[in-house]
Amino acid sequence: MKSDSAKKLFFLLFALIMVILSSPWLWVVVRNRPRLPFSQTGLFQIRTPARLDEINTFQGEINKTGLGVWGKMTVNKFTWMGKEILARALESFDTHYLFFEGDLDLSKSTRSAGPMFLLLLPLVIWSFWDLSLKKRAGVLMLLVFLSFSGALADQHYETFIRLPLIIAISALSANGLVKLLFCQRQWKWKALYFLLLLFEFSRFIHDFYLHYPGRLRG
Amino acid sequence: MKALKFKNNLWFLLLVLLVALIFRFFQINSKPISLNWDETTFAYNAFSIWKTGRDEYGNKFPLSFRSIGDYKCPAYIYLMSPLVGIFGLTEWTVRFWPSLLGTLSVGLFFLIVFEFFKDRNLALLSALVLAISPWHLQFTRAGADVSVSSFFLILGIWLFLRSINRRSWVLLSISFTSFVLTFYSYYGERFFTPLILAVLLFYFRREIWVNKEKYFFSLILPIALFVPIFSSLVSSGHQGKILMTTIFGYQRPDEYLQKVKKEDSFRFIFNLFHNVPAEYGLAIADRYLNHFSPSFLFSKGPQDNRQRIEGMGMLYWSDFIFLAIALVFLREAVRKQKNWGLVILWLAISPLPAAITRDTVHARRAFNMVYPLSILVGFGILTLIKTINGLKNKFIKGIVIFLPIGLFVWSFSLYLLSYFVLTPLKTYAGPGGWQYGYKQLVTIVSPLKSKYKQIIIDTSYQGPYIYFLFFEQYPPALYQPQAELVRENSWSLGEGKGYDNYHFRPIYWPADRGLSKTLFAGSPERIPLQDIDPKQSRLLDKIFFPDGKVAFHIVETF
Repeated sequence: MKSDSAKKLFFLLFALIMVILSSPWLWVVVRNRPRLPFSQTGLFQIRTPARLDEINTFQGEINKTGLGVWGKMTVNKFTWMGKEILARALESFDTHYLFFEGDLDLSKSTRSAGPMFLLLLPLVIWSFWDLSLKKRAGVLMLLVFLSFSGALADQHYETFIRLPLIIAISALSANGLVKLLFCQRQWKWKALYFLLLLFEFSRFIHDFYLHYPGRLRG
Repeated sequence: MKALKFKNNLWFLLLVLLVALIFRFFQINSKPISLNWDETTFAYNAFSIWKTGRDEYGNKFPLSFRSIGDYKCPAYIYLMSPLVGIFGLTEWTVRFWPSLLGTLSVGLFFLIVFEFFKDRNLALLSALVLAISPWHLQFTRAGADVSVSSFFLILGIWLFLRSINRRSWVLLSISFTSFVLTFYSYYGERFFTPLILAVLLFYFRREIWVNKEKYFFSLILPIALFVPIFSSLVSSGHQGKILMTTIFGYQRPDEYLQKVKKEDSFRFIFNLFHNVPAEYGLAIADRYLNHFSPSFLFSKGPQDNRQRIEGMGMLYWSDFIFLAIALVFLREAVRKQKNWGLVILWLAISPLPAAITRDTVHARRAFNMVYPLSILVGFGILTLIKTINGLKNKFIKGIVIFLPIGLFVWSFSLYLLSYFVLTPLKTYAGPGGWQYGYKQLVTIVSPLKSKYKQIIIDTSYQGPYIYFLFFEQYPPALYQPQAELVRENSWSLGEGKGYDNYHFRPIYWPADRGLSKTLFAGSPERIPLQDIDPKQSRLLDKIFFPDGKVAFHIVETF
C-alpha cells in the first residue's frame, strides 16, 4: 500500500514537472528573462482618476433620474473597487487567457498560446470531477483564493502574479495525466490523446522559434 | 436536515410568473431606449403582410424575408402581423410578443425542471432565477426573434418529456412540431434544434424504441410542416447568410498567409501547423470556451451594444457562488438522478451556434445556455440552504448567509440601475446599438415632406429607410413598387434606396449643398455646422442623443 502511494506520488510529481517544463509561460519567461524586471509588474491602484471619474459619472447619471440615494448605495468607491477586484480575480479563469493568448504583454506571452496547453483542460476537468466531495470543495476554494492574486496587478491578464494559480491548475492536469496513463481505457484512445498533445506542443515550439521572434521585434 | 419547503407551491409559481411578467413588460416602449433596425424591419414586414399579404418587396407570403439583405425568419413576423395590423406600428406592438413568450417561457421552464427532477423546490427556484435573469430579460424585452424560437424550443422539450412519461404519440407529434417551428423562428436554432433533438432521442432511446410503432405517427405533422421551409434552407439567401455570419465565410488575409509562409520556410511545416482545419478548429474552440468564461458570464459580457449590460456580464455576480457550489456537488447529483446528465449536455451544446460565428462571444446565439445555467444556479441555492441548515457555528453561518445574499442584493440593484439608466446612455448609437434618434427625426421631417423637391437622409447610422416607413406607417401597397435595396454585394446588408421624394444615401456635403430646395438630415460629421453657408442653406433643427451630443443636423437649401 505504502509503495503504491509512493509510486503514485512519484508519477504525480514527475507529471507535474513535465507539465511545467513544457508550459508556454516557462519557455517565454526563460527566453525573455533579461527583458522582464519583475518590478515592472504594476500593482493595482484602487483610486485612479479614471476609476473615480467613472464612479462620479455613473452617480451623476443616476442622480438625474431622482434615484440618487439608491445610486450612491450601489455605485460607490467601495462597491466599484470590490467589483473591479472580483472581476480581475475571476478573469484568471478566462479560457481565452489560459489556453489561447495569455498575457497581453508580448514579452510574457507569444499571444498564440496561453500559459497552458488547451489539451490539458479535459484532464483538469476529469481530475476535478474524480475527487471526493470534500477535496473538490477544498480544491475549488484554493483555486478561487489563488485567483485573487490576479487582482493585485494593474495590468489585465498579468501572468507572473498568477503563477501560483497556474501551477495549481497544472497540478490538477498532472493528476489527470497520471490517471490517464494508468486507467483501463483502450490504448488507441490514449495514444491518440498523447499524439494530439504532442501536436499542440510542437505547434507551440514551431511558433516560438519561427514566428514569435518576428512578433517580438514588432 | 430539512430541505426548504414551499407551502402553497401554486401561489409561489403564480408569484414567479407575475414577477416575470412585470420585468418583461415594465417600460418596454422606452427601455431599450429605441427600436433598432431589426425590430423595425420585422414590424414593417409584419404590417405589410397584414395589409397586402406581401412583404416589403411584394413577395407573397414568403417564408424568408429579404428585408435588409439578411433574410429574416418568418415566425416572429407572422405572429406580429395581426397585432401591428390592428393596433398600428408602435414600440409596444413590436415588443409585445417577445415579452409575452418570455413570460410564458418561465412557466414552461418550471414544468421542464419538474419533469426532469420531480422536485418542486428546484423547479420553483430555477423558474425564479430565470424570471429575473439578466440574460433572459435582455432578449425577451426587446423584439428579438430568439425569444420566439426559444419559446418553441422549450415547449418542444417539455412536450417531449411528457410524451415519454405518458407514452403519448400525440404529445410527441406536437413536440416535434414545436421543434420544427424553431426553424421558422431563428437561424441559430436551425443548428441547435437538431442537436438538442439528437441528445433527447439518444437519452430516451430505449423508451422510444419500445413504443416505436406508436411514435411513428408522430412524425407526420412535423414533416408536413418542415417541407415548406426546406427549400429556404438550401436557398442562396440562406447560404449567403451562413457565409456572412460564420467563420466558414471568412478568408484569412493574404498578407498574413504570405508572412507565415515566409517564416515557415518549408511548405510542409506551413501545411502541418497552419492548415485551415487546425486554425479554424482552434478559433471555434476559443469561441466555444469563451461562453463559459467569467468575463463573459459575470464581469463584461459581450461587446455588442445590443447584447450587453453596463458594468456586468450576463449573470448576477452572486451566481458565481451558486454555480461554484453546484460544480462541487454536481457529481453526487448526477449519480442520484440521471437527468442531470441531460442538463449538462444541454449546457455543453448550447454555445455551439455562437462558436461557429465570427464574433468571439454572442449572447443571443448562445441564448440557450441560460436554461441549464438557471437550473444549476437553482441547484446551488438549494444546496447552500441545506448546508446552512446543517451549520452549527453561528459566525460561519452568518458569513455563509450574508455573503451570497449581500452580493445578490447589490448585483440585482446594479442590474436594475444599469438596465434602466446607465446602459441606455452607453448603447444608444449606431446599428450595433439601439439607433436612437430616428423617431425624433421622422417626427420633424415627415410634416415637411411636401415642402421640398427631395429629402436626403444620410445613412451613416444605417437603416433610415425602414424607420421612415415605420413611423410614417407608410402604406405597404405604395412602397412595394418603389422598394429597392442598395448594397455593395449580394452577401452584405443593404439600405432602402428611397420612396416618394425621400432618398437614403451617404451625404457628401461639399457637392450636395449645391442641390436646391432640398432638405438634408445627417450627422454633424456629414453636415458640419461651419460648412452651412447662409447664402444657400439654413439649419432648421438639431436632434440630440440622450447624453446631449448632436445626432442630426437638419438643413434646408434654397
